[in-house]
Amino acid sequence: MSSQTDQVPGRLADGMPPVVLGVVLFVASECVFFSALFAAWFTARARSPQWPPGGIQIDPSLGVFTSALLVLSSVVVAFAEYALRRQDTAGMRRLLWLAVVLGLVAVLGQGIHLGGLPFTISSNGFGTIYWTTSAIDSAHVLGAVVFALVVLARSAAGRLMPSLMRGAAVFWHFVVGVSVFTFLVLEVLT
Amino acid sequence: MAVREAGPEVAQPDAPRRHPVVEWLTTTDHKKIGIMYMITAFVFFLIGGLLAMLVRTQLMFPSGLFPLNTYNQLFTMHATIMIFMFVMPITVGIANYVVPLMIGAPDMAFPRVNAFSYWLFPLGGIIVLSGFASPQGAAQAGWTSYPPLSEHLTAGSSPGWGEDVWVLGLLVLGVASLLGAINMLVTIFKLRAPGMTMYRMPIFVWTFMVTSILLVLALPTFSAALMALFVDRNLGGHFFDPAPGGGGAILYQNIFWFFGHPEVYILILPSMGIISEVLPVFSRKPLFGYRAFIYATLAIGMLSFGVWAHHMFVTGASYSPFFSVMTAAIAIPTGVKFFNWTATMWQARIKMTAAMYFALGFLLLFLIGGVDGVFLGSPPVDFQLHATYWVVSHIHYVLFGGAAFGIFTGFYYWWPKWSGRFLNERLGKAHFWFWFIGANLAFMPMHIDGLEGMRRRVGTYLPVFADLNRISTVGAYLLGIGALIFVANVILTARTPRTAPDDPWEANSLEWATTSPPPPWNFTSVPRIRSERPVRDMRLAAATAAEAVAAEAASPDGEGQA
Ligand SMILES: [Cu+2]
Repeated sequence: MSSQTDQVPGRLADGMPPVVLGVVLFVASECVFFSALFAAWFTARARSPQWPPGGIQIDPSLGVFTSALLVLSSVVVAFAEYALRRQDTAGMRRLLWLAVVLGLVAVLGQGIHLGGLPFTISSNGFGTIYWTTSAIDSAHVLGAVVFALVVLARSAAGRLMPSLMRGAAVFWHFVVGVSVFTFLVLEVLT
Repeated sequence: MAVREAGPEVAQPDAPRRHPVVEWLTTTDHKKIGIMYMITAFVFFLIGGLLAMLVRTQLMFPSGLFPLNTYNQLFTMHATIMIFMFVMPITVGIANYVVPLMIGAPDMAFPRVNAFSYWLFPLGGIIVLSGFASPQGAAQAGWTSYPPLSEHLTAGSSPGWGEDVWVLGLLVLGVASLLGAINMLVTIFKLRAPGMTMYRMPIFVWTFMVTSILLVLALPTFSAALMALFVDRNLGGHFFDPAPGGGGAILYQNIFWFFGHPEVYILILPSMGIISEVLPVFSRKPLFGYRAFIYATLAIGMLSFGVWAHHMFVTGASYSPFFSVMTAAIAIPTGVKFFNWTATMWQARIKMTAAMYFALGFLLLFLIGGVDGVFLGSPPVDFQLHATYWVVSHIHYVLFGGAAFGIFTGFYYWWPKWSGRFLNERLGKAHFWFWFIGANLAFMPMHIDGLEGMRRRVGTYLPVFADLNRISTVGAYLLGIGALIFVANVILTARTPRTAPDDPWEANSLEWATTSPPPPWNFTSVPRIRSERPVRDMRLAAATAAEAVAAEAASPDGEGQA
C-alpha cells in the first residue's frame, strides 16, 4: 500500500507554482473581505425606506468608461502573459506598460467620479458604504498596478520568474472583476 | 523545482558572518523567526497576565478597587492581548519552527514574507498597547468591540484615541496573520519532502493547515469590520448606525462573529495538534485513528463557518434553531478527537513527563470548557446565561485550559529541539500543578456565579458573590506563580550544557531526525518517508541492523568465537 503511494522526487513541482498559489489564496481572502462590504451594503439597503436615500441620482457614464478600460486592461495583461510564455520579453514589457497606463487612467476616472458625487462619506449609510467600497476598489487597482510594476522591474533586472508574471496576472484579473462587480452593484442595480 | 521557485527569496547559505544582533534582526530562517515569535508573544503573555491579576484584584471586592473606566480597559486589553498577541502568534511561532522540519523542508515557501509577517506582529502589538498613553485610556469596549459602545454615536462611549489605535493595531496584526497563513499553506502544499504525502503528515501539520485555511477565509471579515469601525469613528460614517439607512449594530455582530467563531478554532486547533503529537510519543503507541482525526479536524473547520449566530441568540435577529443544531453538531467531531486521544493512552505504558502532564491537563480542562459551550449552544439556556460569568468560565476553560495548556505542552516537548537543552522536569511539574489547581480555583466558581446571574464585564457585584470571587482571585494568583516558575525554569536551564540528542523522546516525526537545534536548512539528508512515523521507522531499522550484527557476532562460525 504505502510503497505504491511513494512520491517520486520533484512530483510537487507539478501544478501551481508557489507564487501563484500564494496569490490565489490571497485572492480568496480578498473575496471574503469584499463580501463583508457588500453584506453591509445590502443590510443598509434593506434597512432604508428609500434607496438611494433622498432621491440621489448618480451619473453612471464615468463608471461605464472606467469599467470598459479595466476590462480592456485585463485582456492586455492576458496577452502580456502570453507574450512571456512565447519568450517575447520585449512584447511582454510593452503590453504590461500599456496595462499599467490603462489601470492608472481608470483610477483617475474613478477619482473624478467620486469627486463629483452629490454626497459624502458622512451623508448617510448609502454614502458611507458607497465611498468606502469605491475607495478600497480603487486602492486595489493601484495595488495591481504596483504588482505589475514589480514584474517590470524584475524583468528589467533580468531575474523575472514566469510564475511571478502569472501571479500578477491572476491578481489583475481579480481586481478587474471586483471593480466591475462593484460598479454593477453600486450604480447599475441601485 | 518547487523549492527552486522560492529560491530568490532565500539568502545564500554561505553568506558572510554577521554580528548576532544583525543576524537576528535580518534573518529569514524560519527557526529564528519562530523563536522571535515565541519570545515576543511570551512577553505579551506576561503583560496580559498582569492585567488579568489586576482584573481579579478588582473583583476581590464587591464595590471594586479601581475606577470603572480603568477596569473596562483592564479586561478589554487582557482579552485582546491574550487572543491576538499571545495565543495566535505563539502558535504561529511554534508552527514556524516545527512545520518545515516536520515535512522535511529547508525553510518556509517565502522566507522574506515570513520575516515581514513577524515584524508586523510587534508593530501591531505596540500600536494596540499605545492606547494606554491616550488621555482617556486604552480601548474599553471589550475585545468584541460592539458598536454603539465602540463608536461615538452614544455620548461618552469609547472616547479618545485608545479605541482607534486598538482598531489600527488589530488591522496590522490581521495583515501579519493573513500573510503568515498563506505562507504556511503554500509551504505545506508545495515544500513537502519526497515521500511525505498528505496522509503521512504529522497531525500538527494537519491542524495548522486547517487553522491557516480558517485564517484566510475568516480573518478578512474582521478586517472589514475594523475598517468600518474606523470609518464610523473618524470619518463620520454610518456603517453601524442603528438609525434607518445605517447598517445597524447587529450587522457588526454578524460580521464580527463570522470571523469570531472560526477564530475559536484558530486558537484551539494548533493545541489539539500539539496534544496529538505528544500523547502518542509518551504513550509509546501510534495515534489511535489517524485518518479519523484528520476528518474530524476538517469537519470542525467546515462547521465552524456555520455557527456564528450562536453568539447572537439574545438579539432575536438570528434563526436560532439552525445555529443551535450546527453548534451541537460540532460536538461530534470534537468527541471523535477525545476518543482518539483516550484510546491512544488505553493500556499504554505512559511516560509521565512534564509535557505529558500538560497534555493530560489539556484533556481534562478542555473537556469542561467544551461541555460548558454545549450548554450555551441551546437557546433557552443561553437566554439565561448570556453575558454572565458562565461564559467567562467557558472561554477560560477553552482558551487557558485548552489553548494555553496545549501551547505549554509543546514548550516542554520541543524545548530540547529548539535550544539543545532540557527544561527541568521537576520545575515543569510544579508549574503544571500551580496551573492545574489555579485554573480550577479561578474558573470553576465562575460557573456558579454565572448560574446565579453575575454579569461579566461589570466591575462591581452583589456582596453574595464575594466568597466565590475571592476563591477565583486566589486561583488567578496561583496561575501567576506558575508562570513565574516557568520563567525561572527557562533562566536556570539556559546555563546548562547542551545535552539534548537528536531524538530524546523516541518520537515519530521528522523534526527529531536532525540535530537539536537543527542546522541552517534543517537536514543534511532527509530520511526515507514510508509512513506517518518516519523517525520511528528509522529507529526500528537501526535496531534491526544492530541485532543482525550482534547475531552474526554470536554465531558459532563467526570469527569472534575463536
Ligand atoms: Cu462561537
